[in-house]
Amino acid sequence: MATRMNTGPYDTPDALAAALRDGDADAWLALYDRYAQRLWREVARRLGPGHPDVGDVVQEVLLAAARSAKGYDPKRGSPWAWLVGIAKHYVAGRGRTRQRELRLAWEWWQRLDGRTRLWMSGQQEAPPDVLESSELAVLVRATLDTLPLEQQLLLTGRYLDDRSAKDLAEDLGQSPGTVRVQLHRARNAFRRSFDRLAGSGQTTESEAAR
Amino acid sequence: MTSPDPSDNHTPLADLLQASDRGHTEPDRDRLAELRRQTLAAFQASPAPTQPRRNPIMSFLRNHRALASAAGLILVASVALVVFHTNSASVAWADVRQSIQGMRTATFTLQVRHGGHMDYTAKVYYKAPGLMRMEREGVTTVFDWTQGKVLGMMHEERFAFISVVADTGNPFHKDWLSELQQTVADEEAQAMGTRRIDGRELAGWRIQLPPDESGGMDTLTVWADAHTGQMVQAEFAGPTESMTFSDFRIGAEIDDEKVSLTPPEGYTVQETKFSAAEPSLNDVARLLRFWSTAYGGKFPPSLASHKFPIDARKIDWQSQISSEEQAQAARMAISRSFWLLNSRGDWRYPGAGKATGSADQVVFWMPDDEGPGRVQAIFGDFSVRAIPESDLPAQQD
Repeated sequence: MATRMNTGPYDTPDALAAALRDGDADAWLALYDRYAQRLWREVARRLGPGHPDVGDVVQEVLLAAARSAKGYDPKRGSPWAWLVGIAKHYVAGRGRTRQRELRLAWEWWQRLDGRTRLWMSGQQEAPPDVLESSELAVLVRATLDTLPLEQQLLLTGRYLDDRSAKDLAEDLGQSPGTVRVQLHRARNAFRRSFDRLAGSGQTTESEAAR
Repeated sequence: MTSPDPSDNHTPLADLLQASDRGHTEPDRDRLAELRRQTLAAFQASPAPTQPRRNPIMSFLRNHRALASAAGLILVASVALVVFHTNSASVAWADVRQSIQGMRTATFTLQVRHGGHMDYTAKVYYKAPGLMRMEREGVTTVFDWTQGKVLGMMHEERFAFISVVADTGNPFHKDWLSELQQTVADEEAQAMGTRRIDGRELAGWRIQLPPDESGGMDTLTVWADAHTGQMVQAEFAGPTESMTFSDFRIGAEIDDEKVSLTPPEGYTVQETKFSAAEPSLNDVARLLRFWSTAYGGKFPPSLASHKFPIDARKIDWQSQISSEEQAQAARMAISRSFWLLNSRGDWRYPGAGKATGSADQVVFWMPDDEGPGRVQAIFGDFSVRAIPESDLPAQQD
C-alpha cells in the first residue's frame, strides 16, 4: 500500500512522481513547499550550524533536484529520502568533517577523563559545558555520517525534529511498525559508532569524510 | 523537546544528537523564496525522462555479493598500462551513449578492487535480457537474472550447483547492464578528454552517479574509441571500491550454450534454494569449523570469500558430514556466512592463524545489534557468546 503524504493532490509518492514526470509545475511547488525549509535545516546540521556555505549548498541541492525531478522514481525512496540523498552528496563535497577537527574533538573527549561516564550510562544529567561544546557536536556529526542515510534521517527526524513514528513513516515511505524497528536499530548503530569514534579515536579518512 | 523514549534509558541519545544541532539552522526565508522561483524555472526547462532511473551500482554490488556467497571468487591480477592525455574528444557523447543503449550482447574483463587492492578479475559474457556468464580460474558462474537462478561450476571437481536465491529482495531480478544503459541515458556526462590505452586513443566522459542511501560508487567514467564511439572501458569508482570493465566488445557473438543454465555432461549437480535470511554467527562458527581443517587445526589467515573455493579442496568434510541432509545444512550455513561477511563491514577477525580449541580466546566478533556496548563473539572452540565490548582484548580490534 502506498504511503500517503501531505502534499495536496499529490498524496502518494507514486502520484507525485507521475505528476513530476508529466512536468506538472504545481507538483514541483508542492514538493518544494513541503521540504525546502526542512532541507535547509538538514544541510545546516550536516555542515555544522553557522557554516557559511549552507545557503549555497541548499541552492545547489534544490536546483539539482528540480533538474532531475521528472526522473524521480519512488521505488528508490520517498521524496524526502531522495532530497536528502542529493544533499548528502553535495554536503560531502563541501563540508567534509576534517580529520584534524575530529582528532581535536576526540582528544577533548579523552581529556574529560571520565566526567561523562555517569551521563553516558544514563545515571546522571549531562554536564552542561559538555553539551554546549562544539567538539561534542563534531563527534556527533561524524557519528551520524558513519550511518546509512535512512538511519540518519530516522535519528534526526525523531530527536531533532521531534517527528513521530507516523511522521517518519510518511517521510520514508514505510509503515510505522517498520520505522519503530528501524529506529531501534538506528539507535544501537549510533551508540556503537559513537562509542567507537569517541572511545578509540579510530576513524578512517573515508568515515570522517562521508 | 523530544518526549522520553522508554527504550532509550541506557545512553543519553537525545542529548547527544541535540548537541549537534546547537547554533543557527533556521532557513533564510528570502533566499528560499527566490530559490522557489529559480527551481521552478529549472524544473520546467528540464528534459522529460526516458525511463525511471535505477541505480546500477548497488544492484551490481548486491549481485556481486550474492555471487561471492554462492560461488566464491578466484583472484587473478592484471593491470592495464594507462597514459593520460588531455586532448579533446573527437566523438560526441551522443554517439557513445547510443552504442551503449543499443547493446544486446557484450564481452568484457571485470576487475574489482577494494581498499586499493585487486579483489578479483573475471571474463564476462552478457546477453540481453539478463543472462551473464563470469569465468574465473577454475570457477564459472552463469546468471539468469530474470529467473533468479545461478549455475556455478567448479571444473576441476566436475561439480555444479544450481541456486535459487530467496529472501534478499530478489537481487537477481535486476539486470545491471540494462540499468547501466538507463543510467547512461538519464545522467549528464562531463567530457574527460582523451587518453591512450594499449596504443588506442580513447575519449572519456564522467557521470556523477545519483547518491544512494547505501553508498558505494560515486562516479562512472566511460571510455570509448575516439574515432568510432564504441565503448571499450567503463570505470565505477567509490571511496573504497572500484570496478573496471575493460576490453569491452559490444555486439560480440555469444552462443546460447555459453549462457545456458544446464551444466555440462558428467558434472555432479546439486540444487540449492539459497536463503539469505537471518544469517547468524553460528553459521560463521560452522564455516570456521570446516575451514580450519584445511589449515591443520588453525584458523584460516583470511575470510575472503574468493579464498574459500581454493581451500575447500583441502577441507576435511567427511569428519563432520555423514549424510546428504548434513551436507545440505552445511551448504546453507556456508552460504549465509558469506552473505553476512560480504554484507557487513563491522566484523573483526583476530583469530587469523591462531590454533583452534581455546574456549577463552575471541577469534571473531561483531557488534551486537540488540545490545549496546556488547558484541557477539566466536571463541576458539567455535562457541558463540555475547559479551561486553569492554571484555575484548585491546589488540583484537
